[in-house]
Parts: sequence; structure tokens; C-alpha cells
Amino acid sequence: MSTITAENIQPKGKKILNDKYLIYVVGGLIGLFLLVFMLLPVLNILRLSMTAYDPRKHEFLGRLTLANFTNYFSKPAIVQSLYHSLWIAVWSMVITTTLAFFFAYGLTRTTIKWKKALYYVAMTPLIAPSLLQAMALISLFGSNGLITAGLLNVEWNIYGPTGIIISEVLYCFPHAMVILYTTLSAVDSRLDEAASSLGASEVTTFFKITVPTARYGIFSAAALVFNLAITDFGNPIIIGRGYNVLSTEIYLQVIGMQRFDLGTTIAVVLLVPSIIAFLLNYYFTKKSHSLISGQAKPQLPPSRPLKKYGFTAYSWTIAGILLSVIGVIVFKSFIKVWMYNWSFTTSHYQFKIPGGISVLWTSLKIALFVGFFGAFLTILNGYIIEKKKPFFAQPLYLFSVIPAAIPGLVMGLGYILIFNTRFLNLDNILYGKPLIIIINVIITNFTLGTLSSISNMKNIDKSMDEAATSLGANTTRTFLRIIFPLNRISFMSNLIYYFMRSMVTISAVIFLISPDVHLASIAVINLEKDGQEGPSAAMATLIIIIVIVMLAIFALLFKKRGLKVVAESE
Amino acid sequence: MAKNLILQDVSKKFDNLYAVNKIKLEIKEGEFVTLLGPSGCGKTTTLRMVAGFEIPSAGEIVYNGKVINRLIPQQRNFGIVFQSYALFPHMRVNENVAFGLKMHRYPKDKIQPRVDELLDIVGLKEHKHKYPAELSGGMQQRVALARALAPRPEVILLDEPLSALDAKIRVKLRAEIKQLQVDLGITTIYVTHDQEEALSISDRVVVMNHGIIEQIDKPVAIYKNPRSRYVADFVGTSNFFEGKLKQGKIDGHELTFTVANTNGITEGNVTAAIRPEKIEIVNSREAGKHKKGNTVTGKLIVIVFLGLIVRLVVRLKTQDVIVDILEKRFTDMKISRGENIELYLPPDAFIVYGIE
Repeated sequence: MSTITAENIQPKGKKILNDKYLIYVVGGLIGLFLLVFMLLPVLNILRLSMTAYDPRKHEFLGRLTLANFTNYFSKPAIVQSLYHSLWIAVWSMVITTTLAFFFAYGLTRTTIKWKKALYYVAMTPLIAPSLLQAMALISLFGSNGLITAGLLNVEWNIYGPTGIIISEVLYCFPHAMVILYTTLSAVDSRLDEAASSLGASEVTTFFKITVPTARYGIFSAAALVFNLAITDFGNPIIIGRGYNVLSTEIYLQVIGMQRFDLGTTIAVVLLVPSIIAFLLNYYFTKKSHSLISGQAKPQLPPSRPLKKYGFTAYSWTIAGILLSVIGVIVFKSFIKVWMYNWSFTTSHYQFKIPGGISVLWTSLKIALFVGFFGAFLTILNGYIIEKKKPFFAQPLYLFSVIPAAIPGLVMGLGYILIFNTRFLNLDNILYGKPLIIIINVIITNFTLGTLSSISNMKNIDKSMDEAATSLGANTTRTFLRIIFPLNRISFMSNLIYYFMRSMVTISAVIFLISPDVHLASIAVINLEKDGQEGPSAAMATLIIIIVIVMLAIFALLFKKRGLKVVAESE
Repeated sequence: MAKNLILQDVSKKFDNLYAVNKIKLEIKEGEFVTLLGPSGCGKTTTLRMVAGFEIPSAGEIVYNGKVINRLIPQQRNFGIVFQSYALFPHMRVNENVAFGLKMHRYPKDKIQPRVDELLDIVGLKEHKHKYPAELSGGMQQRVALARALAPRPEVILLDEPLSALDAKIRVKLRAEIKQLQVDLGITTIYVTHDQEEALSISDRVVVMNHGIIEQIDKPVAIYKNPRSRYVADFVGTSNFFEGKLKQGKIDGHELTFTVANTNGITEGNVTAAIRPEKIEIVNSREAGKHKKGNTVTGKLIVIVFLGLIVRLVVRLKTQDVIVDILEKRFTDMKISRGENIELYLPPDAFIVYGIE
């Protein structure tokens, strides 16, 4: 063949560059967003923890020093909070993982009835602020509790470590249960059948086959519970009563005594176990996913009566406890004076707090904003990382995964320490404004949203993008018309997740509220701390109702728009 | 001037591996060319370069006299049918077909008639309001074809379009695709690893291996005159005998035999290929009919009934030989498994390849 002389045509316009650079620009912006609102605040905390501080003027002096840490470790009362935190976290981890494992086992490997209902009940702690458990326990077992003081008339009460651990177990239960449920339904149950056909008894099979094959799921759940328990703020501040843990210590040092030096130092101390727990959780989750077999699940054979009744009783006991946590608070919100005057009242619903009932609408507005914007951003992020794979896909992924390792309280502290600056007029735009809360909640929950979006993107045929391109669609149109519609389910679930987190979170936003912005979940904790237990129960009840109503609305929307999706199930 | 598609020394390197290595290929307007080869031979990479999803590392892709190497897919107006069809699951059949028209900003009133026209051609008019998941695999395939054809592409690229279908539907659809291509007169590049499909559908077949082109020819030529041992092996079935060539005779492990054409090789180590249907069975009752020489005796070990023909596997001393004979003749001969039979290998049926 002879050499060809041909006119070498360049692409018309700059379309090819535009599409490529569009991904660079959008991905770069997401990366910048994470850099500014995640990495910088945390690095700033690290820096400040090593900066000299004048405790009388409440000012950082700018000198590099390790004095804050020596100071920290020389104060036994504060160091104790580290041991307290570890003690709480370890016990919460062991108890929650064990309880959740048997619960998940019952749902996946036995033929008990009402599994769906049990599953949803197990999820109920997610719809309430993470101090509801402590509030309910105090109402029942506190110094003025219905059971301790009322029924049994004993001196014993639940304040302190016992109360915190029980609250954390109740609060962390759904998180561990979801992981174990997924693991146990994914691991091939025919392994169990093979073992019993080889003559192993049920108990032997359980310990030699079921538990070992689910081990990565168990480790992953345990690490997550450890992380949640050690970073939780709402429950320990309410039920701890002088039993200080790291998170409450940070709060007391910063809000109570304006000791930002100790606040940042303790924040750094808290970062260490929480990052380790996160890394373990991440590692075991990956391991666990690699063990999942995609094979069809055989029908479960009917469980033997003893097993069936045993697990039915166990599951409903747990479910009953979780439901009564909510039940007690709802009930309490209509009682004039708990333990003294049992007459019905709605007066607790007239809130005499700054902002009044409107704090609820602020929370709702912010949560909706967080939900839609967060879900959109995480889907876009997943698309760029998984489908477009620009040269910076790896660092962007890493950036997106880090937020889960940072306790919300630390992130919030980081925000007030860095965004109270005149620079770019940030103190006016962000500081004390709803925007900073929206950004904070999006960032602190960025990891799960992105990971679920990435795994969803993985399931979309790679040719889908190319098909759209070959038919003339550019990147923007491909994303809006093909990719985004195919991610409706993922978008909906991210939206719901973000919405719930935003409605109930305390630790992330406790430092960020201001005279201008009040949130419902923070109102609950402030009322409770003030001893206004009726109004705090009422506010908590309203949050729960709003979350349930919104979930129902989302579900309806989803059903209507999701009809097509049913046909798509490939 | 005809709108030819020319690949001039096109290469594609991934890391340090050449997926496609300096291939030359000229496709005439309206021609149906198939890229045939095993997985990893570079056929899909070649197609993706033509489509614009990969940019060649070297060489030029010329279409209609213009180098199009760096044009993005949207600017090429080539239709593509994907192996997985890549139908948009959230759109109905008619929306799928209309997608490319909308992206190309067809006038609104022209879109629906064009969609109907295409759906009519592929025979899916009554399914236009269904979702892809409600259709069978064969129907989905047709939607993908209609979708690719809708914006009137100048070239259509098909990447193993039938590989996900049942054998029966595959044969039916490939006839339909061929007919459609002839009717529309559209330049077509078809990628497949199925040699039967390639031979039956193409004007010309490009046999690829390890990123290079082994042979470009009409289907009959590919089958009858495979230019390399690789092609003889990959396309159709061949028996290979190795040995030393000297004066038109090959001295092999099994037998010494004459070949009519030595393919320009005078002497040295060679491989001689012979198709199963060229081998004859020497019937003892018809003895004397054959010339002496070029015969070998072996034990019949496998009999496979294939309909019109019967495939026999005959075990010689060091290798097995595959022999295809008509079913009727097989029945007449009354031979059975385990018997020793004599084979005659006609000298003019051999194709000789040198061994490096």
C-alpha cells in the first residue's frame, strides 16, 4: 500500500478538550472542596495542638511547641478520659457485635417469622439523635427513674460508664447489624449444609463454619462500633455524669473553659484510635467483599422448633428494647412532670428556647439541602472516580474516603478554628451561618455516599458511556441523560442517608450553631442538660416524626419514579 | 471519490505491549470487512481506534481522504453496536433509537418518523414502547442495530454483536445483518472470534493474531489458501504433518508423502496442512483404485455424527488425524470403532509452510 497523502484534520472546535477538561475541572473542584473543608481544618487542628497558647487571653501565640501534649499528659483527670473512652469503646464493641451477630443470624439463617419487621425495628436508632438512648435510660433507670426509683425503689442508678455503654450498644446496634446481615446473607449458606451433611452438629457447624466464614464481616462491624462509640458525644454528655470521655472533654475544654489548646490536643488524641478503627473497618470490609459469592441462595430448610422459638424470643426482646427507647421518650413528652404528675399535657411542645419551634424547620431545610446536594455530589464523585478515571482518580478516592476516619466533633472544632477568619470574608459568609453546617454534614458523611456510588457505578456496563458518546452525546449530556437516571436508586438512598444524618447529628454541629442558626438536635441536648426533660423529649419526638414522615414521602416518590426500575432488574 | 477507510501502519501500545502492531488495511465504501481472531489478537482495539475510543500510538486512520486519528467519537458519525448492546435500560425502545437523533439535533418532527422507519426495518415496530429488559436477547440486538443506524452513520462498527445469543438466533440474525448491510450499502466493520460467522457474512476477512494481520482475503480464499499455519489452524479444521522436505517429498514421523505444491520451499523442516474433507478412506473392497504412496493406516477411535457429514478421528502412531466424510458414504462403508482403516492423503490437497 502506498503512503497516503491526506489532509490532517484537527477536531472541530475544542470539543475533545472541553470534555476532558470538564472532568478535570469538576473532579478538581470536588478535590478542592474536600481539601478546604476536610483536610485543612484537620491539619489546622494538628498545627494548633502543637502551638503555644496563652490560657488567660485565650489566644494561640504561634510558637511551635509540644507543651500542650506534656500539659495534657500531666493532668491525670484529663488523661483519665482517654482510658474512659477506650473502656467504653471496647465494651460497646464486644457487646454490640455479639448481640447484632445473633440478631443478623436469626434474620438470615433461621426461618423465624416477621423478618422484615424485625429488620426495620433494628434500624430505628438511626432516626433519632444519638442521645435518645441516654434520655430513655435516665427516664427508666436514673436517680428519678421509673424503674429504679418508682418500681424497685433502689438507690442504684445508671449514670456513668454502665449507662454510656448501654446507650452506645443501643445506638450502634443498627450499624453493626447491617454489616453482619450483609455478610451472613452473602456467605454461601450451603457451606453450613455441607458441614451438617458431613455429620457436624448445629453447634459445631456454627462455631467451625458460620462464624469463621463471616469473620471479616464481624471484624469490620466491631471496628465500626468501636469508632462510633469512641467518637459519640450525645450519649456520654447526658448519661456520663462526671465520667468524662475524650469527646465530652473536648467540648468542656472548648466551650466551658475556652481552652482551645487542650481542645485541639485532646482532638488529636481522639483522632488516633478513631483513625485506627476506621482503617481496620475499611480493610476488613474489603476482605469481606472479596469473599462474597454471587451464587443463588438456596431456600433455607425450616429451623428446628427450639432454634426457631429461641431466635424469635431473642430477636423480639432486642426489638422490644429498641422500640421502648423511642416509646419512653414519646410517652414522656406528654407527661406533665415525670414521676410526680402523670397527667397528660401538650405544654412541652411549646418551646421556650431561642428560635422556638422554628429550629425544627431550620433543621429540616438544612437536611433537605444536605440530602439533595450531598447525594448529587457523591454520585458525581463516584462517576468521575469509577467511570472517567482522570489521572487524579486515586488521590480523589483517598480524599473521599478519609472523612469517615475523622470524628464529627473534631471536624466541627476544626471548622470554627479555621473559618473564623477575615480571609475572603469567610467569617461573614460561613461562620455561624447555615452554609457551614451544610458543608460540614456533607463532608463528615462523604465517605459512605461516595463508596456506595462507586459500587453502583461498577455495575453499570462500561459500554453505556461509549454508546452515548458514539451517538453524539458529550460528557455533560451523557451524565445527565444516562448515568444519572441509571443511578436513581443510589441517589435516593444517598439522599435518605444524608437527610437522616443531618437531622440527627449532634457531634458534627455542636460547635457550629450560633445565635443565628439553631438546630433541633442541638435543642434536644441543650434542653436535656438544662433539666427540661419534658421539652427535650418533645423535641426528640418531633425530630423522629419528621424523619419518619420524610422517609415515607421519599419512599412514595421513589416508588412512583422507580416503577421502571423494576423492569430493569438485570 | 469513494469514501474509503484506510488504516496506515496503525499501532496501539498499552504500557509496553503492542495490542495492535503496524497494521495496514483499506476498506472500500460499502464493503463488509470482518476482523477475525482469538481474544487478545487486537481486533477489538482496532475497532475502538476506528470508533474513536482509543487514539492510535502510531500510524494514521484515514477516512474520506482525511486523517481522523484525534477526532472524538461524536465527530466521526460512525455507528457502533456493542457486544453487550449497551441499551439504555431506563429508556423505552423508541427512546433508545431516538437518542442519537436528539443528540445530533434532528428537527423534532423528523425524529419520530425516522425511529419508526428503523424499527420497521428491524421488525420491532410493535415493541416500541417496551423497555429493553422486556425484550429477548435477539430483539435487544436489533434495537441496538436500529439505534446505531438511526443517525445515518457512514460506517457501522459491530463488536461481536451476536456472541451473547443462542446458536439458532445467531445464524438467523447474521443473515439479517448481512441483508440490511447490502440494502443500505453501508461500510461495515465487524469483529468476531467465530470463524464460521466471519466466513459466512463478509466480503473480506482480516485474520488477526498477536496484534498483526495474518491474512486479508475473500472468505473462500481464506479457507482454501490459508497463507500461514496459524490461519489454516484458526479458520476451519486442519491436520498438520511435520517433516523434512526434500525433492517434493516430505519425510515425517508417520510416513513419507509427496506434495504437489511446496509453496516455493525447496527443502528443510516444514509443516504440511490438509483439511479433513480432503482425506479419503481406502476401502479394501475398492482396492487398487488409489495410486501407491501417500497412504497411512490407523485405528478409528472416535465417530462424531454431524448431520450431513461424519467426523472420524483416526489414531496413527504419533498423532490423531481428523477425517470428514459424507454420512452416506460412511454408512455404505460399514466401518466401526476400533477398526483399522487406511487413509489416502492426496498430494494436491497439502499446503506446505516452512518452520523457522
